[in-house]
Amino acid sequence: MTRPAHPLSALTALLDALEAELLTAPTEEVRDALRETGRARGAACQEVRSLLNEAQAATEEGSAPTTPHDMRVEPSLYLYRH
Amino acid sequence: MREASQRSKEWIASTAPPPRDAGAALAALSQNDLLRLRAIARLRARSLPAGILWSDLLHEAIVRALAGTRPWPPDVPLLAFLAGVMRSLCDELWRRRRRQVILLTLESAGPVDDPERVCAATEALAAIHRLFTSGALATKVITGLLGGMTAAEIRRHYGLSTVEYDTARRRIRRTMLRHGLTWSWP
Repeated sequence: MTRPAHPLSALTALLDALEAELLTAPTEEVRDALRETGRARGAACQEVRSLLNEAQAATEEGSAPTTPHDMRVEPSLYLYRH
Repeated sequence: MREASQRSKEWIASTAPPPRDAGAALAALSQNDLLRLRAIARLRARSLPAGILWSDLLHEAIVRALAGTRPWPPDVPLLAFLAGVMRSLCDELWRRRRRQVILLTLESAGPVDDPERVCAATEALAAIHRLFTSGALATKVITGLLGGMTAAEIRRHYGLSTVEYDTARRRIRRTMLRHGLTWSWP
């Protein structure tokens, strides 16, 4: 058994494993989690939906990055704040 | 020869799958998928440099998917694709941050020697651990996962039955999904 001791390796392994769990979580578990959070659920989903819409608008307006990321000068990630 | 090459290009073009419409697929995401996406973005954001939010990460991933900067491969589900984009964006952000630091200090360091990233990773690990402090089984599975163990290795190492292991995984998933919905991370 290999046990990566470095925090970066450990975090990478853990995040990859947790991400896989989230991607494959059965629908009923996701539904239960949504139900448990009550009123927060609507706002949470709406927030992601708004992000999608804003990204879509940014892409359509042509302000989205169209060159490979390594060639861009300004990081677009710092431009967005919700 | 040129004709053959042209025919070959045409054949490839005719057999290549059409570009996937990421915009339509994003618009069709269900509430459950939105929650998964949010939870994944919040999870990945734990490893980001300070000051960058999960929403920044998700926004950038979506922009790149829509703009085609990151092509969506055939046979890859949309959420898995976006998760992959966010994963590589995290590395890209740290590379960018490191370049800035190197420019400032004129020092060269590899990713593993980047003290800021190591510090952020340590804090992220502690935060994820704190999520599961009340569950002994989940803590064991988390510890095994961050040690790079497989499911079988975790079960063997901690003496867990298949039922116990599956219960712990279910608890981990529910916790991650709940924290994907709320703002609070311990």
